[in-house]
Amino acid sequence: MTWSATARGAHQPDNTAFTQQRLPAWQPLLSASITLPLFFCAGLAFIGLGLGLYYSSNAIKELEYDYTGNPGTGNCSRCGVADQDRAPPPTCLCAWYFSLPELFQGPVYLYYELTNFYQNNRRYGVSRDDAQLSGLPSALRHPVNECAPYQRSATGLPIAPCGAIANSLFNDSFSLWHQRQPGGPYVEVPLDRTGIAWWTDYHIKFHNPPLVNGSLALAFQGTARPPNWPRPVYQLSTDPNNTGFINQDFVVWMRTAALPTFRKLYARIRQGNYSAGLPRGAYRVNITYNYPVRAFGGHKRIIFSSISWMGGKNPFLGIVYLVVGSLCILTGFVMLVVYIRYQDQNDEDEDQE
Amino acid sequence: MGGGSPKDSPLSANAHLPLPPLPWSPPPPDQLLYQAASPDEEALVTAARNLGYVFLARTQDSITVVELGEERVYQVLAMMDFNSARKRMSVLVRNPEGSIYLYTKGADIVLFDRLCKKGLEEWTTTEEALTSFAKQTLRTLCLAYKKVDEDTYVEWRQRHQEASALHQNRAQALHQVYDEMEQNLQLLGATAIEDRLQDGILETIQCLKQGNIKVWVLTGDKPETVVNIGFACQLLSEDMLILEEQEIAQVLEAYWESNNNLLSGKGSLKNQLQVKMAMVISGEFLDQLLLSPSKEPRVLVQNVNVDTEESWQEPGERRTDFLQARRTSLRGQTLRTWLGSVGLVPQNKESNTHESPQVRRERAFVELASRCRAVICCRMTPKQKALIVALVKKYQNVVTLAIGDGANDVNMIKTADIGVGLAGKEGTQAVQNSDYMLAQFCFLRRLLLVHGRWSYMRVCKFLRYFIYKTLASMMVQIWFAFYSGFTAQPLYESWFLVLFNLLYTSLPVLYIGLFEQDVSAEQSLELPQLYSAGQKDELFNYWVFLQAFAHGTATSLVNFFMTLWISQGMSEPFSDYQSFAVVVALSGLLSITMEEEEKEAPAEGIAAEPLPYLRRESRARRSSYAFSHREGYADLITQGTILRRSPEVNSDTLADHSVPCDAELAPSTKESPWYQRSLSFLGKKRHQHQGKASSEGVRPPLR
Repeated sequence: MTWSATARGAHQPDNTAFTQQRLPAWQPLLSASITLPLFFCAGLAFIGLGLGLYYSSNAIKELEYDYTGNPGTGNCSRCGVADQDRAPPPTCLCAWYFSLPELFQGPVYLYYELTNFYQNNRRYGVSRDDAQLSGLPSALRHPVNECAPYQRSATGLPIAPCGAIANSLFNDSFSLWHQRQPGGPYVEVPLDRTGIAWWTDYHIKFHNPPLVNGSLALAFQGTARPPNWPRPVYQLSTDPNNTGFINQDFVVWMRTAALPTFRKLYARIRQGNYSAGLPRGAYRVNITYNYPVRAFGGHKRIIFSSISWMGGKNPFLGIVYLVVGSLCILTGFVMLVVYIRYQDQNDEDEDQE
Repeated sequence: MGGGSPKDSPLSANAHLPLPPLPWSPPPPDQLLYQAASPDEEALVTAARNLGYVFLARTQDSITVVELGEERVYQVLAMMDFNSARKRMSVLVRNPEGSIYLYTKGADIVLFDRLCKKGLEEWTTTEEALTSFAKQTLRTLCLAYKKVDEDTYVEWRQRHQEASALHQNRAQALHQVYDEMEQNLQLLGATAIEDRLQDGILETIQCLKQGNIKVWVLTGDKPETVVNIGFACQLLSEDMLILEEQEIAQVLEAYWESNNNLLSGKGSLKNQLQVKMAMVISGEFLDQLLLSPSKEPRVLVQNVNVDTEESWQEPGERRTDFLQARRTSLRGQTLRTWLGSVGLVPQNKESNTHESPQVRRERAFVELASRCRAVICCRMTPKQKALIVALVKKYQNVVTLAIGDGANDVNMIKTADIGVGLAGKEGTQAVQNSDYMLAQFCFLRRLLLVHGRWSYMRVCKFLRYFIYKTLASMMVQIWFAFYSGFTAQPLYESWFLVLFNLLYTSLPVLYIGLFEQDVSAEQSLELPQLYSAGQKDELFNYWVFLQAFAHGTATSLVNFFMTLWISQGMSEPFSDYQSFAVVVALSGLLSITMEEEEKEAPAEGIAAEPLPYLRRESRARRSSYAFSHREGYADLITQGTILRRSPEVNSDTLADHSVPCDAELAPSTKESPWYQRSLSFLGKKRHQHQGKASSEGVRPPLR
């Protein structure tokens, strides 16, 4: 034999499970006795979960009001019909009156909702400078080009915060008033405007630039405010922990929404007499109407919502679980019937063999 | 393995053409080596030698035999040659004492008819022996003799000479004369000869056939050798209609006519053929058939027809030779059907009118051959082997695999889609030109049925899964575009896009591509039928692609819209873009990975289901003469031309005889050919086995 492959086994792969294709494997052998209980168990679990989700979703109360100001929809219409194209629009005050027949179980969250607002538009979504927002002085002076046309002001000063997202900051403001007795005075309900942003955003992603001489205003010297803003970023709030880039409204706004209809948290009601929720009585929401939405066919809503372990009110997930669970059980029953019906036949077949 | 009386030995020595050792290289007498045209003959003579009846020498009209130490010279009076119709041959000798004996050997059924009354009683025991031999796949022969008195011989010789001198119908006349002499024989016994093939050849061929792989044998060997081997490895079976040259010509003629007249009949060959066919064709005939456009097939067929008529008409033939009778009737019927009806209907009629005769001829041949259960091409040159493979590739939409071990297989191996070389005695050319190298033929089974199948299955699953996972993850971006004003905003973050294929889903895909085994190796070998999935493109085709497409799209739809509707109206926890993206990505990733796990399961069902396993138990008894040489070599011997040649020429002749034994047999098959080199070792193994009973345990030299 002239076959010269040198010594025996010279090119042989190692005799291991890996190289010899003998890795252990597990293949579930699907039989009726495994599949049927599986289906029933999954179905029951899904139904249980679905019921839980459905009821907790139903237990959540929501109260919402569209204050866009389309003609004839309330006292915000005079603001709505005002000239919407000027920026900034004239400040307009309006109010929403509502009454609660019973306690609105807390904790109560106050949201605003915008519709038809495409925060997920690509050009809009990239129009920000995260380096600037994290407080880098160099980025403060030199915003990235994605921010254009909100990169530099007409005079050539860098805009802080730059970009379309920041420029379109939602600037309506709300205050809630409670009338305990009919005809009595309205008492302001304290709104907690802190803690509405993500912890990571507030503490890690967003930072003010280093103070100059202890002053935030000096730190922002040499920058311009976004064209739509009535005042510069360091005057967003008087609270030094809530102004500049770490203003919570601003941080919330900068976390762009995935869909054209979105809600953002405005405030939490959890202080004083209102920690358990909103007691019954008449209420008034004072709205400072600044934000124009009618130009792009959008709507603005204000929403009071309680919250549960599963988040906000949305029965959909619960319903889906219920449907899938029922389908599982139905399929299980069908298979059970088939199994019982044809089991004997199978046995006979096997016997014949 | 041998039976009968010592009288047996001169018979087997005489009967065919084993040549005694050459004078210039006298080996020791106990190690005589014979060279014979037929390995069977060689085995018989060797066996006789080992039993003490040594065939020493022969001249034109004498045979020298050492019978248990005593040297005796027999005078050869006449040889009644073998042909495939007679299935027997006889020799008439005068022994040293001066009496005349006729010794006959032949197929059991033929000899049975010619036994004298007394011999019939012994027949039953012999028949039992024959049956048991046949069950062990041994090839059997019966031996008989009779004493001829001087007067009968003289009278018979007269007629024999007259018959030999005839100008017309000489063969027929001679047969008649022979037949008169070969009557009232006395049974001597029976012999059985074993073909030993390489280990596992039988199983391998059975497996491949069950796996719907067509096996064609392409070889340089002589037809009879290959047919024997074909029977031994069950490529051919008794219930097959074996098409030989004249039948092939007839069928193709029918096809030819139908094409020329553009008669497009309804009955296609498929419907007409309930008979299992096999084809045996030689290289010369193939050349005639395909390569000479000038030669009219019609002429060819007419010539052949005359021959067949002759051989079929032999008197006495039909009485008891059930096998022959059946074959004849089968052949007659089938051919008549073919010829009577339109025969093969061209597959694509419109193209026929534009095809050249050459192309049509080739197409017809390939079509006929691929309808056969087995195709054996013998006497092939290396170029012809390659030609056959190329023909199959050209006219049939199949994958071809060629396996061989010799340098003359290289053409074929390189022509075929897949070339497999066997490492063996023949050198390394075949191996060096092949895609795969195997040490033994039987490993082909594992290569195709286990690794080939796994590989196909893995590639298909890999593709299917890859399509699915890409669609399931990326279609989401399209759905998202509807909600982002078609602004090309990617839903996924860039890191996820980068790492998705690279990291998150790479392991499942790799796992499928490398380790997936839907059926274990043992089960694959047990159920060769599973192999045919690949031949039908079952695991990946447009339908499967569409399924994967739809499946992926559905997954992406569910992922996206479930997330969308759940997040709608909820500020928390994931109304913002980042959270939404992460949720969709995670849910896509999980469903993709789960999908992979699920895909493992279904194959179990196939494996658990026992497919009907066809085993053909009936193996009719067969005699080596039933399908042996077309004609014997008695003419050569009696002419003495071989014996008179100079030693140099003689050595050439011998070399020629030995070459076919070693020449490779290389089948190419339709779906995937394969081969068996081992067949060429037959001669040697048989040799060994014949020699002594003890050689039973001897391993063939080539393992």
